[in-house]
Amino acid sequence: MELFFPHFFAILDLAILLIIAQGVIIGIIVGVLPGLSATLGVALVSPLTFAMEPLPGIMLLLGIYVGAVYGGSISAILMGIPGTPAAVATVFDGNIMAKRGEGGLAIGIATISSFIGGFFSVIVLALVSKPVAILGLAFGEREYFALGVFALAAVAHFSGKSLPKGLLSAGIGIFVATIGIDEIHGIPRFTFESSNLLGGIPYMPVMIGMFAIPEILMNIESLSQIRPKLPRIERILPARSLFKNLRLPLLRSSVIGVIVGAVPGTGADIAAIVSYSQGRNLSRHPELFGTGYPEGIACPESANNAATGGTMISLLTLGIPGGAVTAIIMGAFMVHGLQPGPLLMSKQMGLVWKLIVGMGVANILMLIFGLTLARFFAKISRVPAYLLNPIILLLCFAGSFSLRNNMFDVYVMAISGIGGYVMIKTDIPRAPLIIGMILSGMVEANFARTVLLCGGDVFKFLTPISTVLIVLTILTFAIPWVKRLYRSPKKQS
Amino acid sequence: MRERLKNKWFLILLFVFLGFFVGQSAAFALDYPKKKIEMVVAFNPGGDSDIFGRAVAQFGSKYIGETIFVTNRAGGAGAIGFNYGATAKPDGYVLTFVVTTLTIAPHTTKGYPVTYKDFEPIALVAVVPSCISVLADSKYKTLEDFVKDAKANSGKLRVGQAGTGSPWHLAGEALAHAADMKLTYVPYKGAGPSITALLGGHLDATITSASEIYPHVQAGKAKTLAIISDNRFAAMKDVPTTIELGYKANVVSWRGIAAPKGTPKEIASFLIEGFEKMSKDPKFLKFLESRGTDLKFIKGDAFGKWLAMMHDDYGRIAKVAGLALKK
Repeated sequence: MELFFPHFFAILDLAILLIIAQGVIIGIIVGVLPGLSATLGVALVSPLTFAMEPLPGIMLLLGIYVGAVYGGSISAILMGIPGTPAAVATVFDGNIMAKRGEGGLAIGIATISSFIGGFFSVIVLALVSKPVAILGLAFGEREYFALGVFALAAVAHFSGKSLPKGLLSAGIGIFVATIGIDEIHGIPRFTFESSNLLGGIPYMPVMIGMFAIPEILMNIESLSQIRPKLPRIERILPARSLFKNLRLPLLRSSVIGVIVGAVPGTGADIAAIVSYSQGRNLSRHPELFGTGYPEGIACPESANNAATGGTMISLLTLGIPGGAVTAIIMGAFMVHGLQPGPLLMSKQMGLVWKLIVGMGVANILMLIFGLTLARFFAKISRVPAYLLNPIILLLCFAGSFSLRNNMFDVYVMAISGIGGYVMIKTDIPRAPLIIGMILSGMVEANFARTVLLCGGDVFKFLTPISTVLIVLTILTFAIPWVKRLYRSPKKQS
Repeated sequence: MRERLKNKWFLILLFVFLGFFVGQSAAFALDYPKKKIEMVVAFNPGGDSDIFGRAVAQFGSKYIGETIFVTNRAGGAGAIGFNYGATAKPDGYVLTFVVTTLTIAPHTTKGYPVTYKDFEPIALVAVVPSCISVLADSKYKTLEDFVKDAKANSGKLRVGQAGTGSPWHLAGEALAHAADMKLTYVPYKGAGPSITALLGGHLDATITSASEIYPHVQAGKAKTLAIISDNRFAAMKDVPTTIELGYKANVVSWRGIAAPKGTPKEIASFLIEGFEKMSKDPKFLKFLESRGTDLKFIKGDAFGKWLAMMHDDYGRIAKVAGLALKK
């Protein structure tokens, strides 16, 4: 600990602070724009850091990372388009609140939740990173499979009124994700000799199309109607009483976020999905989820930012990049001749402490920028549809193209958009489809790996961790039944 | 008359002057590059191919005299990006960062649209050998130990590899073939996850590039049994090679620069010259070192021949491994 304070003051150097601030702002912008994810933002800026000193260079990337994971919530809330995959779960309650005219408050809750999740993860990173990293490393193919199934169970909570329709939607998503070269045997599936299909259908353009295009089409339908006037003065900071109710979900989601983040190979998106679903399971008012309920924003938003610190745990303590973003950050370390991992921890403890403190500062700056800009951002919901729609449409096209510089992704986006519109009209929820796409590969590949390693014995699927996860999955479905059984006698009496 | 004379002299002077310029341009340079040059990376941002491609673009810009910018056109085991790069207009404004996959996937993936023959070879930049590694406290001290155990427990040892048809999968197959052993391969999405699985104790061994495992060897978590090549790896001088140990397995991965087929000779040689200068830049060499990679610079036609050799080598290994497409 005596090592800590000098580094704390070192980070307060104005130049470093400005670099972190710059990173957070770039990150928020990247996050807000649909199609630009945290990964892309960090990847695009990383070559610039090669010429910088290691500390400011890596701090810039960490700032972008923290900012982008948060920024995705802003477009999710205001436009109903998740800016990054990690914000898919935020759309439900966030966008409904914005439509009620509480966009500012929704952003306020998202900002504070993101800050709490992010800051919590930095504290874990600073104090107990070793045991958490070891827990993450314990995840083998069986545990990943169980985690994937557990996360897929969240479909139940994103299905709205009809579970069969939700399952249908998730099934479509899982199927679409199987297109392309499969991960285990390298066999092309449903590719029809097209090199574009060989590459598979990426979920980003599907997500952009599915959430944005129907929104625009619905707006066109109601263009002639006079839009209800939104209340003028908006609250940004949640009331003390509301915040008090959020304390427990925030803590729980932050813990989920850190752990899911620390498991190599999973990140902010899965953390948000799992935490929304658990938030609803354990909430006192599960029926309010999906109706513009603050808890429905607090859970995924604190979890996805908690995952940022989580992913840094396996990078800094083990030298393992848990996800795409940390892989790029690891590359930035290596360009400076630094190798993250146990050696860096012992040889360059100073730098590691500075990075951890810097990440905490990035979270604080994110809170400050988020709350100051919330009022400004919230004005987006007041922009008339005839102005906003063309801009969103432009962003959709540019965003899908920029993913891989491939027109194919733009077609995918457009087709998904039409599909999404049909789904709205037939009352099929869209989120399960995206969740299915995100998790399909993880579940399938790890199932196949388990079979390769253990043969066909079902009981070999059970390890301590996977058993816990499978039991939790079953509970997800059982809890509503149990609650109903528990309540019904009272009603009768 | 006088006027005329003046005009005549003027004309002569003008011709001499112009002639000088024409001579200059013929001797010096073609009209290239006039605009920014695209470097296609056929994989996602953040991967090894991307980091290398960006470094080559960044350091190369200085010697080509125009900005080289990277576009990631990922998907289909490089199919999308390589195909884009091969079919681009052969005017020198679209270059492709080509990697090992280009000499493997045509053998193993049905409908893979390109081979090295669709490119004009510019230069090979780097070569990374493959290696087999175990946990530091593993019971296997040498490759012999491992082979002996693999033969005793045929098909039972779990070996991680970076995806079916990846160079490291083929390296494992080549080694297994040479040592006459049977292994259970567990494919992962890239070498990173397979190292993670090894460190987590979920595998008996894993096959990766020497540069990818090196940091974990340095940290004392992993131990490399052998480099699957004929040359020792600079950073791990004390690890023997398979050839030294008497196993005929030699699998390396490579990275280079290529232009579309039919690119004019002058442009190609201009690019070769520029990248050759880059290969001597101490900053670029430092970058290679930071990635645990050795420089191996082969230019132009020699690179073409090298590619043909790699293509045939990998074709042979794929056949041995039973991965080759039936034609």
